[in-house]
Amino acid sequence: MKAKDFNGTIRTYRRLPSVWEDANGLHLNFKKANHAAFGFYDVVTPSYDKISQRLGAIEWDADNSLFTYPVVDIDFASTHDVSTPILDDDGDPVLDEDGEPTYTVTTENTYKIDELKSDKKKAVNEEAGRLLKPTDWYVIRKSERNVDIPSDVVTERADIITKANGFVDDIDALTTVESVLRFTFDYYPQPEV
Amino acid sequence: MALTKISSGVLGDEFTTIEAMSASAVDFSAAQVFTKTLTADTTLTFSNVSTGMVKDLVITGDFTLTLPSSVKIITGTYDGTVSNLIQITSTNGSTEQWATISKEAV
Repeated sequence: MKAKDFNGTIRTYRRLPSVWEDANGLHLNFKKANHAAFGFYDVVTPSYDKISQRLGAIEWDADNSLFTYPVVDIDFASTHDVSTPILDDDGDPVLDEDGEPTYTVTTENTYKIDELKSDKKKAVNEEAGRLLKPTDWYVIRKSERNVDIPSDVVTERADIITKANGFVDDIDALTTVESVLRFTFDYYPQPEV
Repeated sequence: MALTKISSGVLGDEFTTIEAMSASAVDFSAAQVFTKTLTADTTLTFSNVSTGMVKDLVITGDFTLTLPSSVKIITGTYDGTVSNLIQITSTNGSTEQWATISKEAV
């Protein structure tokens, strides 16, 4: 990818155009041009931790003659204001003296650890359900016709449930937003070769 | 006897000749067809352009070819790997020309 600075506005190009027009004329076969002479330079995306960092706005790196992105640490403790309309008993907006709607402004954490934990636990349980589903019919058969569930199936299902409970306990024990975001689970990890 | 029909024999060089461009100047009064093989990025300059003139540039070479900013492309893309016919029509003297680019079928 290339980019060019147009008086302070940096525009990126996934592919350069075949024709480029500027004050000097119409440049055909532009892909063969010395692009730096026209202000086009490579865009280099730095490596970064996608959980705890993000990329800022593209900027010019004069030392290396390229465009790149600054790596910014995510502030997991950041907050933001939430405006909620104030309503009267009839559900109509309460207006101020200028006739404008009024709001209650509250400050909330941008990253809500309880919600993140809940999402993770939901994913854990959904995966457990997916793994249990193929053998659910043994349980139904046992319930309806009292046919014993094979012991290996009983063991397998118990293992899944034990692991799911363990994952949920692990999630509950996490104390930081970042640790929740980094939490991963795998019921049956593949052995490393 | 009065001349009632114009034949190619009476046309001037600017309508009937081919000029191999040694540099980058295209003199519209010098030839009808201009040829060039690019060996480096090249910027063409036009001279003696009058409204209504139509000239043919046959150009090859896989380098960047720059036409004057007075030229507007109607259609076509220059392909340096084959021969390209760039036909230039002046619609307003040296102020405005239109170009179509056709490339050799291979």
